[in-house]
Amino acid sequence: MIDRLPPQPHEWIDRAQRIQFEFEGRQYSGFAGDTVSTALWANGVRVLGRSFKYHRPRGIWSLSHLDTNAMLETRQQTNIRADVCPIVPGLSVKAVNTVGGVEHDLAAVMDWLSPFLPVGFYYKAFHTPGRLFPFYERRMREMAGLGSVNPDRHLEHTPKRYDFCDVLVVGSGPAGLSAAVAAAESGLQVLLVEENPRLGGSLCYQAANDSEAHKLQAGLLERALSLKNLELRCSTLAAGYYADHWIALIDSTRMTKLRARSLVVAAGCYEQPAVFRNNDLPGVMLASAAQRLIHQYGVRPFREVVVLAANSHGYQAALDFVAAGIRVQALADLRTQGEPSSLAAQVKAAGVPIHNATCVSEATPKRGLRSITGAVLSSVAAQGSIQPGQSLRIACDGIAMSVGWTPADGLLRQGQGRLVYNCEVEQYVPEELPDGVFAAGRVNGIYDLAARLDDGFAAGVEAAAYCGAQVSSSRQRPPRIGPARSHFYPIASHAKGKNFLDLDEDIQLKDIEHAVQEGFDNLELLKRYSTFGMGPSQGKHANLNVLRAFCRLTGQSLDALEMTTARPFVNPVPLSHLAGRIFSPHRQTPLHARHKEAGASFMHAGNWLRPEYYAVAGRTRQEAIAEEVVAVRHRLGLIDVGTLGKLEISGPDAAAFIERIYTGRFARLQPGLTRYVLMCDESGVIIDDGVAARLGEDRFYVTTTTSGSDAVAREMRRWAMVWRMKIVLVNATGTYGAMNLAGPQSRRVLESLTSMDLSAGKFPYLGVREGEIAGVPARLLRVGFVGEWGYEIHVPADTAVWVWDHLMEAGRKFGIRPFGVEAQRVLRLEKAHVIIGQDSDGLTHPFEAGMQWAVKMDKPFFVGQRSLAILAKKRPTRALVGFALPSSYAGPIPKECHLVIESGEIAGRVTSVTFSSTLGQVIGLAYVKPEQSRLGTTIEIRVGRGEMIRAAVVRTPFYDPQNLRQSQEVALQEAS
Amino acid sequence: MISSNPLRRSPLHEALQELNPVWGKVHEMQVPLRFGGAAKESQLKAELSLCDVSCFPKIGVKGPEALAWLVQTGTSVPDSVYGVQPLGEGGLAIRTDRQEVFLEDALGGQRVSQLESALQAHPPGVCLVRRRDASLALMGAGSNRVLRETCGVDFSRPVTGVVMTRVAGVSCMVLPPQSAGAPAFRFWLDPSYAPYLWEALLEIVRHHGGDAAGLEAIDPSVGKL
Repeated sequence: MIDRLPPQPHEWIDRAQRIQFEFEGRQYSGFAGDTVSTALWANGVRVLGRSFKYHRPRGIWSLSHLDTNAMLETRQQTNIRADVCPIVPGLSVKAVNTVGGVEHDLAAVMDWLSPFLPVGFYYKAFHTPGRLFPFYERRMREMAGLGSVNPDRHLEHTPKRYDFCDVLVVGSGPAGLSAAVAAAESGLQVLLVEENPRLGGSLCYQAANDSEAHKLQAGLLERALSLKNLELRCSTLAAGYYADHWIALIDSTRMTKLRARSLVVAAGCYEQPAVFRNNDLPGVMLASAAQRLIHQYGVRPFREVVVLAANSHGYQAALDFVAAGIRVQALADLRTQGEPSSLAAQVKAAGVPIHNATCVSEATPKRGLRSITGAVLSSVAAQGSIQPGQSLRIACDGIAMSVGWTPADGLLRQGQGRLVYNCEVEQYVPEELPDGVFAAGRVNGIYDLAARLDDGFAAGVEAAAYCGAQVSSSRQRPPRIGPARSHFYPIASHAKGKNFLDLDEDIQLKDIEHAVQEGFDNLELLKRYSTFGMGPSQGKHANLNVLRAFCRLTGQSLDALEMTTARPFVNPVPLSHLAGRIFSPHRQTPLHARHKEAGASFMHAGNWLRPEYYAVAGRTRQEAIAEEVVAVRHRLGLIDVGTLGKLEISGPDAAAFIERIYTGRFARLQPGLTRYVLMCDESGVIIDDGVAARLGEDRFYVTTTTSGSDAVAREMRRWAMVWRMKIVLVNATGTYGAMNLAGPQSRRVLESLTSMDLSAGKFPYLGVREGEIAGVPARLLRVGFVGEWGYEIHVPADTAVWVWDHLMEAGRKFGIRPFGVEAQRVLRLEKAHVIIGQDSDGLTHPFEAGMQWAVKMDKPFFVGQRSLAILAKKRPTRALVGFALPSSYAGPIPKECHLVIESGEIAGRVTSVTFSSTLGQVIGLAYVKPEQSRLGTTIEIRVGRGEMIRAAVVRTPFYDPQNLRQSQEVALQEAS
Repeated sequence: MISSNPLRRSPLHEALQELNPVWGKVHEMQVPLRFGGAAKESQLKAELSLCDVSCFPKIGVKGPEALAWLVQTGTSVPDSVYGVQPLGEGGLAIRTDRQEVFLEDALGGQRVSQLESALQAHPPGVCLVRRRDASLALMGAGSNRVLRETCGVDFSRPVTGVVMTRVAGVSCMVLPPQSAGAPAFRFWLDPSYAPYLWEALLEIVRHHGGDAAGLEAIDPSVGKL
């Protein structure tokens, strides 16, 4: 490993464990603790990836989880960030987004074509001619995106987990550790999470040679480790902040859904780059990245370096480089007055020439752009612009930039914290944070080490106090004081461009200039047009410089700008972690197993599983359904209707309550009878229907639609409270199983299982009775949804299978058939019974659905009455009618939602349609214009590809319009 | 041939059948007594197991006079909503609302059927609420690991009474062990969700080294009934 340094005092690698791995088909070695980036760099590899758009070579940039130009894939995973991916034995990775490999990427021709690919070029280039767009779209799909998914990868389980704590501290630098210790010492449960594999934050690389700082850190860590109520978790990212301090924690195996009582963000800052020509090439990196390489991984970042600085960190970095045996060719300081501290003298004493009021205007590339050969230094004016005139070229293979910082404040912004630009420290700082959220350390604009410790301690105490703990001591929050660590404009223009503001998206300074010139002078528009900040690092190294450039171009001031909205997650998160173990509850009736045994094909009805039909060997789906229909019409069928909502309403106000809730009349409904119920909302729109059975003077049993039970129950509870009515409401949907025994033989079969008198005189149509079926207490409703003599039988859920089995056994000699939802839909359509949600929509009121008969406008009050009174006076706009095609019709059958067309305009749509074997023709329901609703009117229905068919408006019900099937005489005749 | 005695069926019957238990009959319901040997069941009970306890009879009593009526019958009613009191014979009385109490018998208990009979007289202001909830018991030292993957409530801190929450996406009433060393978390839920929840929880229980256990793990005397 040609660029490995001697052991460093606080390095993270274990030199006793050498590890072999493969990159781009070649073998390399590193040490345990190395990441792919650091191991490759130690082996002299400089090109780690290719940029998104121009496929320019890229190397190490930040080494802080944000090097998104160095992304890798294995057979199992893609878009792995090389700067944080640990090397393990057997690891085999290659770079994403290349054609032919990272070294000789054929797509690098895009860099040569870059003059033809300016900002927003796709909006302009692919707009016309439109016929070429499919071609462009295919090419873009091939080129776009990062990484590829292997559909054959083995499944890994990444179940999520809940966790809880009193105080969550994000970040383990001096401020974070201090805050965690302070909060834990007050007795609370504290969790500290650190994104990196080791604790310490910036002390791990910025103060590596500062023994005092390390002594402080060691002491703090010792205190932290001694506290049993303080848990320290490394390699864990606090990725997203949600309401009530719900925070998503991401580690290598899962997402943890943490509920904290308070949050301290001590996440530090991201170092910011300078902008100059070729600032993206391998060898150009942030000074902190170079320091991490040296101190954490024992890797030499370069041999000869030019340091570009605008703060004391750059000077400290220069001294670190000297100590590591790197030749520091020069230090260019953007500031006119240079560095005020003693560090300047130390750097000078180390033999490093310092150039004040100087910037790097260009990095000179090696052939092929795989590294750099030097830096061009230029004078810079007080306002930050380059002075024309002399420039100085210095040979080097590295440029280290330390020109500023931006806070890692993603969580604070997600929590709707307000941050404002502080000119004293030249960074955004928190001005107003939500209750229970605190910031400390550099994210709070505090840089001095002692001040960070105090700031952290104060935040920890504040968080503890917020949680109600008794706190014995507190500390004042230190002030935010200069000098500013960030230069106000570290951007150098260059006539030849390639001075990148956003490395993720390959956005140059001129792209922003052009976009503003084109009129995108609003930050939100500029973002969407240029895509700055939209790459995998979400603009952490780009946004601030783009804002600076934008302000300069538009004459605005940075402190007057609103930042774009921050949303979870702060860093990329594997989709597998979000998927986790999916909980997708579904419901089954107690008869589910019986349907399976009978060969049911199941369908989803909301979150219920229902039998669509029962498969029969040798029969198609349509044939099986038709046979079920025939069985019900001529013999006997049994359907599971256990999914219906079932509500028990009792109490002295029960009848009055039902009267108010539904559109019909119920106050005088006799016990022992049922009535159809229609429910509207306050605007008169139909929302549910069912049947109300009066069991006693103050007892009702009401059914709802399958999908409506919870919503109807909720609405009823609300109205009961509003009206202060004395009722007891029980949602008994799951308590009862229910089945509908229907057909001419139904009474005969049921009589064999009960002692109840089922004669028409004693149990008329629309009656309800309570008794026993097969020894089980049951409620029986004589309803006619499918148009045959039948009984809806409701029994306690745990006895439903018993009753079903007895009914099937007793009905066997009559040819009983279980029938499913599809057969039921045909049967009810033959009776023109409306299905709410299919034959009605979000605007349908009863008058246009032909349900005036169910609405008693002369009642004192019901929900929706007032709106219906207004609607009744208005001219209707549509009407639901029955239609039929001739028996001889042999063409395509219309489908639901096919349009009714009149004179080339849409006049309505089909809501239900089927071929009725009972009637021998296609029948259906459709909305049409009111003037088309006259019987005998011909309507035209468009059935795909412009083909029109003609149907006639007919009277409904289509089948048994006199309802004779419910009369005893007809039923007995059929049964015999 | 269909027996002449009506037999109740757990909503989990089919799921349990697939695990080949030794069956028994409790409160007119077919129940798995055990799935493996006694030693294995005992180990599962101590470490981590899931058990269907839907067989215990249950009712609700609701209405403006419900609490007073229950007290009149000699039933202890919890003072606060979500509070729990013993019902006698090992059963439970849980106050689920200001004017509603959920009652469940334990093995062999008769209290619920007595109260249900008394309610047939329709005392004023008191309603019988038929309850056919599915019910599960999550037992063993590893229970919290399962709950941490399925439920957003912190059960590591003491909780008195029941908690209304979601477990694996299903609304449940959860009763944590009410004293140190008490055996199990109890869940009650709408029976239509039970097959889904059983499958979801059992997968997680097995992932953590546990398995299904029979009713003998709750009460060894059940096999002798």
